[in-house]
Amino acid sequence: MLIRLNPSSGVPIYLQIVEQIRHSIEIGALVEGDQLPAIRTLAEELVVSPNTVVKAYDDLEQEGLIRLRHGAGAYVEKGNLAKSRLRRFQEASVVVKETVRKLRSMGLSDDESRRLFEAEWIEEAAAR
Amino acid sequence: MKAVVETRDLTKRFGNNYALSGLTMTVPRGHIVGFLGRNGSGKTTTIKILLDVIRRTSGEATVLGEPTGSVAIRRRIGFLGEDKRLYSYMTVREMIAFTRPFFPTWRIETETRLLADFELPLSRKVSALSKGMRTKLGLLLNLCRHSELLILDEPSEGLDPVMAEQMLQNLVRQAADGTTIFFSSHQVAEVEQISDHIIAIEKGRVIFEGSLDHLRQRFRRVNLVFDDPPPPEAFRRDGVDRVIAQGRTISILASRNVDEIAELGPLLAAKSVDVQSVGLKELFLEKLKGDHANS
Amino acid sequence: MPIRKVWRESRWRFFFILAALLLITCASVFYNAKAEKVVIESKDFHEAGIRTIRGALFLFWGFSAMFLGLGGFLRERAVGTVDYTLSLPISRTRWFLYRSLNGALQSMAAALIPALAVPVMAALFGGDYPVGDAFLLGLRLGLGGMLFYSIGLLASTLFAGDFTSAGIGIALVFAVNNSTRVIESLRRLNLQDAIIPIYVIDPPYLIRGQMPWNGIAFSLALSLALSAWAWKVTVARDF
Repeated sequence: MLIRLNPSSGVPIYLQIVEQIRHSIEIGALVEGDQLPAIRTLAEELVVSPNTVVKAYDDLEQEGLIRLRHGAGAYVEKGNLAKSRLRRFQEASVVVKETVRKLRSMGLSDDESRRLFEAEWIEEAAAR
Repeated sequence: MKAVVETRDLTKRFGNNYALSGLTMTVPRGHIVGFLGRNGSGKTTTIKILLDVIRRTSGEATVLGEPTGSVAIRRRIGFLGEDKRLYSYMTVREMIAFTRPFFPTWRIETETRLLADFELPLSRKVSALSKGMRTKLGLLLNLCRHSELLILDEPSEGLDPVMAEQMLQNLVRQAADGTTIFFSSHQVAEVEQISDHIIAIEKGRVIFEGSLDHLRQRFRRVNLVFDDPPPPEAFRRDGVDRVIAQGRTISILASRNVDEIAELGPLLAAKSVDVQSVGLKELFLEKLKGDHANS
Repeated sequence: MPIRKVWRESRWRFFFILAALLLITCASVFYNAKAEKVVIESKDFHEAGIRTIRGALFLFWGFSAMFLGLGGFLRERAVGTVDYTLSLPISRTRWFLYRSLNGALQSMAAALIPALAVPVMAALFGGDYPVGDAFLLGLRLGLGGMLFYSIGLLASTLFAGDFTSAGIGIALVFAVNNSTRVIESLRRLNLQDAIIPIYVIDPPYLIRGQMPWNGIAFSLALSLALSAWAWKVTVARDF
């Protein structure tokens, strides 16, 4: 599995692993039933602490994206599409929050910002 | 027992110089703990005290729950020093045969596997080994013990990138087997890569410690740009660690309360607000400056 | 095995010293026997034996014993292995015991073996030298001279660097040697007699009278005290 980490970015490594595995599932590089490397194998391969991989796998299991079978590795779980949607909404709201904050700090009123968005969407739709 | 190493107010004086001045830290079991510090900050002194090579001036230090002078605990730990020197007149085989009987938890399977992996020539004398080979041998002598705690002083010092990576991989593997790893280093990159817990030391004292992920998630850099920047005092808020003014930019290192601190932007009419995550190097350097300012 | 390590680290030095002492002893017997220019009789080899043991062996053995005391943790620190050795589950006291016993035994051997070579040399030239006497003289030298060994042992724990320790050790050996000749009170303690049997040798036959147990006991006691000091230093030191 191709996971590229950036340990010095300030983003926790386990989150980077979660993100990349989730992304692989979303784009279909990993499908339901695929086996993921054992915790120690992945830790050795990525040269990160096994605790980090444990955290990542735990997170993914909580999201319902994978299932850990005791002593038999981890597998990509079925029914991940619905959760993935929820995840997307969560991420989108973060983007919106940051954008709103940025626009406000630039001195725009909420009305002005809304008008900018609508103008953009209309233009987009027209281009299509 | 939750902690494999504990020190309390540990002090070491050499003549008039305090190598350690009240070092208090806990190394939690089951983690890879990076002991980060500059050269001369007291890392090696601390490790030597833990191994009873040096005696402390005052304070307390325990390893695996026992005081540092106990001989019995040395049967349960491993140690790889910065020098990585072994008995030059012994062959690889003899070095292994000499070390093995001391450790009841020694595993022959690991010995066989590592001899093959490391490609160590059994009949060659230690004096004829390259530094890389010597390091591998030193590592083998420790990994085969499968001890509860493995202490390393600057493990990748003097190693080429390939060897350094191999070293880290072996440490990770050992950690997966249950050994707590406690390693000192002045190289932030490798500490950041494999540690899940950090203890940062400067001038013989801890300047920050904690789970690395926790530190990553807590700390943020908030950059505010102003036409006419307010004085640094205007940014005093709970969670502000350091405020630096650089031209029109006010850069704040925040250890918590990031949202409230970011709100200072619009509150004080900043032109732009930017929130970034903070890497360990940056955090360490900032904390060093802060420590310098305080001392 | 830790005791094997201690032996291995000291064996070449020991063999060298032993070889040197044997050479000196045998050459001395040979030379003295030849120089007598008399008909080969028991008498000549007794003389030669006496002179040899009194002179060559006693002269060099003190220094040799001192050298056998060198080494230890300070030397290991110099070569860089002290961290490894001390990180092993063996107490400093145990290491010290191994090293000091190893050196003491080597010192005894370095006294006994050359002493016993004298009868062998004598026999080669058709002479006759009582083995028992040779043995006793070697024993006397070894036990009575333990002090010199302990001087080396102590010096090695106090001073880093073999040359420094050796230098100081040599100086002390000279001092002890000369003081036993010059200072009245020490002479009373018969330290000199404990080692150098000049005054109790009844030429051409060897020891008459008692072994100077007082002197030997005194030497051993002093030696033990110095060794204890060396042990204390070793246990307390920061490496």
